[in-house]
Amino acid sequence: MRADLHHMTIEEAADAMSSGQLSSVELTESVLARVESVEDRYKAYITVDADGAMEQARRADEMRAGGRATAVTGVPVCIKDNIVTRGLRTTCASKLLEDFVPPFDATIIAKLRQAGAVIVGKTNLDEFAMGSSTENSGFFTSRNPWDVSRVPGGSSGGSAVAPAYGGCIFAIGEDTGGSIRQPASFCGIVGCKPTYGRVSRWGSVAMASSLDQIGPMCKTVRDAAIALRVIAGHEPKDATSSTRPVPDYLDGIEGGVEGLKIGYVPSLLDTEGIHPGVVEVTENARKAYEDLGAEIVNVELPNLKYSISTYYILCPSEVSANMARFDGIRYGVEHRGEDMWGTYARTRGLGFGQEVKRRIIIGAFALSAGYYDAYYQKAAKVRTLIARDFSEALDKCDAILMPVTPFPAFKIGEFIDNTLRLYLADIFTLGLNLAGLPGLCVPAGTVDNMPQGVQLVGRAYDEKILFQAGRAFERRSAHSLAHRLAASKEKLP
Amino acid sequence: MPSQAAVRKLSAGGRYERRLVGEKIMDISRELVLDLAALARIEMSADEAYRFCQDLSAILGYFADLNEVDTSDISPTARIAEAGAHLRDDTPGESLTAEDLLLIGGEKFDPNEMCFVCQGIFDSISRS
Repeated sequence: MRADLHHMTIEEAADAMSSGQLSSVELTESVLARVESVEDRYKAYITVDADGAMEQARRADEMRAGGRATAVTGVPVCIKDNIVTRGLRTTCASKLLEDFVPPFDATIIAKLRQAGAVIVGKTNLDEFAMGSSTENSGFFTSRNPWDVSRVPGGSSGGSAVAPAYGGCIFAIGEDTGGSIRQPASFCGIVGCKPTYGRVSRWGSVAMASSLDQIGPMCKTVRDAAIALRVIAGHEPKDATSSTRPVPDYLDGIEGGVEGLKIGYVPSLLDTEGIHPGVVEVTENARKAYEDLGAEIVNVELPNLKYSISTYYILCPSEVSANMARFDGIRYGVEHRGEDMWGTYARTRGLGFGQEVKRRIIIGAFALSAGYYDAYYQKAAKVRTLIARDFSEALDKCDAILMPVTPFPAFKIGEFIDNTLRLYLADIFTLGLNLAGLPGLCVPAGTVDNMPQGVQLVGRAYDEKILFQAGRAFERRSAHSLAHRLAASKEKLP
Repeated sequence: MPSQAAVRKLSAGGRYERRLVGEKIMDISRELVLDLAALARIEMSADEAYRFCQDLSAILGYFADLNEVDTSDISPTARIAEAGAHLRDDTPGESLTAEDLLLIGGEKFDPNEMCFVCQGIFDSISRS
């Protein structure tokens, strides 16, 4: 059993607990001590619930003693702070909700509690999940553990930082345009955006309802497979959640890629603005898959370049509708105006940050009379084409290998005055949300001394292939979190 | 129009730099921003609206690239979830208790009356 318990994976922790070498109380104490010791440096958490976590750890040990342990019983997990947790403050990193304590648990929270996981706290994000760095958080910017002058990515930034530095064993994030995959790439961990509808969105504070999907952010591919099985599944309160049964994602995960067809899109490596190091990492991943026995099939995604415009019209449109509920009346901070309408306007004007307001205004524009057809309807049609591109490509292969981001983690403040440039960096992630497809980010190399991942895209509900292919790559790569930690003893205090 | 980003490697120190050139700008006026803010019930000063103009002009101008795409025979994506709405039966179940609502209500929630107390709206409507 390893000495630094906080760096354990789900599987290592579960093995140690089931063999009696470790209790959840000991593991949780170790994680909380780690948080106490270095959280000021990395700033992953908005709220740490130490007392609640210890209470859950005690119950988890009782659950195990009673023979009712599951794969994640007693394992500390942190949750992106736009997923509601009963009795535990949930802010969406917004001043508007800074004192909001939810009266119910999100479905995935109920599932994690039932499985005996130990919820350590709520992690930082860009406000209402709008952003790519946590710089839009209403409270503070999180730090990339590999270089604290750089961003961890976003919007699920805190949920990438915490597993990387040992502030939890695994994390839950949420991905609308890349918000799990990009921070996973920036922080050197594994991130999975499931198929749209695979995981219930009940209790996830909606940003863009046709794009959002909750998913695991973990230290290994096997951990992500375990965590997804816990949170996935049909749930009647979410009308978009699928009734398809949830498979055991570990079943066949070590099967390798011999004989599998991996799609590759060479034209993506000519994307304007792509860092030469990212090209190299992606090319190396392709060669690795060839060496592993996969057949590389060149495919094209001709309309992917329009995914930025498509997404940044459709997402703000949905945002403008979803943000309408924040009026400061039933919940959240209220700033009184002269009358009811004035209260709405003042509360929202003072409570929302710049990026949220920007997206609401863009959405209001795209949906308004005179612009609706040219913007919203047009984007909705191009969405159909982008989804069709993926569908045709995935007819020719089992999964597509793509870059995740055009560059590694950037310096804090680098994009603060150029929103459009930051939007353009989403070029490789947005398409999956538009098409509703699953994506898995695995660490694949180093660029400018920072972690860099690659992405595998699958057919709808075919997360199994992604885990299998991701695991095959991880087994032979030297870029997993464990490798990086072993090489960086001084660098990651 | 195609994406306008250009990569330039600075010779001094070989630092990697990304830069956008020739961004297409769309004219967004401050008045339009204020109108949209009013629609979205967001109080915004003229200065703040002016600061949004530049950003929005660049962003909305970028969207012009969609004009290149032929969508004449394409239906808009109306739903992404699997076909067939999964509606649940209309049967009563558990609801939030007063204790649950006290968590969010603070001084606004009256547990005896089971209601939230807020600013009156009917006065506002009759006045406006």
